[in-house]
Amino acid sequence: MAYLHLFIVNKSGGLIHHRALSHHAPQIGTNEWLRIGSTFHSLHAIAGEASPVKAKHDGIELIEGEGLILCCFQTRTGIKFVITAEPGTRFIQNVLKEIYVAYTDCALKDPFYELEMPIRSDLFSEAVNDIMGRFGNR
Amino acid sequence: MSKSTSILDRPILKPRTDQVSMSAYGYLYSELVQYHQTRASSISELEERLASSGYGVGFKILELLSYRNKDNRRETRIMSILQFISSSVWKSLFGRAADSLEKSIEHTDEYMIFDYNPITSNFVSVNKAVSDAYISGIIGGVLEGAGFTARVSAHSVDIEEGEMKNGLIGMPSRKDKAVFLIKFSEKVLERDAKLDR
Amino acid sequence: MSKSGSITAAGQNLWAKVPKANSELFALTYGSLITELIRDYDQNIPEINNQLDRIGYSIGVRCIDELFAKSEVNGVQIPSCRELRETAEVVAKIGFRMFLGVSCDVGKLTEKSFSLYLSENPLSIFVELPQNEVGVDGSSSHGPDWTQLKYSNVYCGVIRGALEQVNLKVECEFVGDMLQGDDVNEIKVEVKEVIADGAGEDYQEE
Repeated sequence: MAYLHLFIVNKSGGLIHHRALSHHAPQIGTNEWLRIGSTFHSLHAIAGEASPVKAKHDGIELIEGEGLILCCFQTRTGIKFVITAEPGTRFIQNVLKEIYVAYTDCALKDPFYELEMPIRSDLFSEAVNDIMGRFGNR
Repeated sequence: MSKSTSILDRPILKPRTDQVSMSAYGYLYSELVQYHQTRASSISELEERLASSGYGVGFKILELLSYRNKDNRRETRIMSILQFISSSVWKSLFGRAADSLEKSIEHTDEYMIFDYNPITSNFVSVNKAVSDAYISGIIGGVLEGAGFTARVSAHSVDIEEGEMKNGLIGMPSRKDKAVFLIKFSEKVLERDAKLDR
Repeated sequence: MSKSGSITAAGQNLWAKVPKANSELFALTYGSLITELIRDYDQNIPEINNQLDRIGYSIGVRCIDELFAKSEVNGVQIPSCRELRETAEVVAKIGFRMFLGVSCDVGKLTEKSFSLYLSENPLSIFVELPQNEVGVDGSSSHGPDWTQLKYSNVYCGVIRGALEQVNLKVECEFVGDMLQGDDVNEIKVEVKEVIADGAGEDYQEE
């Protein structure tokens, strides 16, 4: 029961952040990350189109595999916050929402952060660490 | 023809207890920094521009507070003007007094005001001291307006183990604090020394 | 509770939870920005109004995420805004309240437009606009026409930027300004276009 990775995709499909959330997380190379980001963005859009019942913010919310679950929170502004975790991990939605808040506080108000660009903020990383600390990484 | 009351009739005696959200200030200040950044050709120029923006605010706040301060005293000593800044000015602008005011041991012309959570670098990840240059400007403006020529600069210093301080709610705790270094001119120091006798 | 009542309550709920800053510092900092603009743009009032709108836009595209994010974690439900009235209410009762702590009313609602009314404006608490200079012979002003300055135009940009992030293209204009002698500040918001979501288009079935 552990959190594995976090990645964030902007509205144009660019990967703006990725990191491990615990030491259980496997190593993923930079190129692989870029592939993951753009693939997920496309799959999310396709899933929305493929939905038999049309709703405004369709896409992928949850993928459950045998050894992995993937949870996605899409904001109304089109940003996707995605977490992968071991099956049985709880409170993933809460964590995603808290990370969204951290994004608005730590990245969006930083005059040296350019919108839609990769987030390289210590403040944001610290905030995510704090969130992980609170939701326990067992 | 203006229907509203003239600004000169508007009450300013009572300090306004109105507030805005810290976020609103954060966005506004971030825009001010970005505005200067596009016009500055270096980090130090950005610092100067921010300080110069704060300077005008310093003058204004000195006048406003002097007017509100019933006893209408004019501070003539270095320690008293610095105490005025670290308590009255700080409380008026930031809602609390500065964390401490110290005189430098190594340099007789230097004093330091410490703040663990300066509002201008609340949401900044790198270049915190640059962002705090606005506050250096405010301090400088107050000093100049009160007749004390000084050079003020902002610095960021790591907090030591055990030096805990409450941060802004919802934000990760800061690992550093701001130090505003105030270096008085020769003339001011001489004048202050004379007043001792 | 009526829908609009709960939106108002939501705004107050969020306002209560956010950390605060002094509005005098806010006003003075905005003042230093205005001073810079007047100096850098050589008192060209229409250009200054544009710059304020641009700066507001930059704030708007960011603060909308904060509005959504903090609503989510605080259990505040922002409706899906099927009617313009709901959008207007969210901007007025949640947006203006949670960021500025002021009350803002909606009026003149039509299918494509609405007005926002502000009687308290934290940006202008110390401000009085200069009088226009008049020539020696009483002829028209020589200096800038201060009656054209939209001191708080930044709000128009904020609204424009924020709504664009949720696919609503709007135009905003200050039509009433207390600094210019009007009884209340009024911002008119007009919907120009509802932008279709770009992402799905590449994958639609032909």
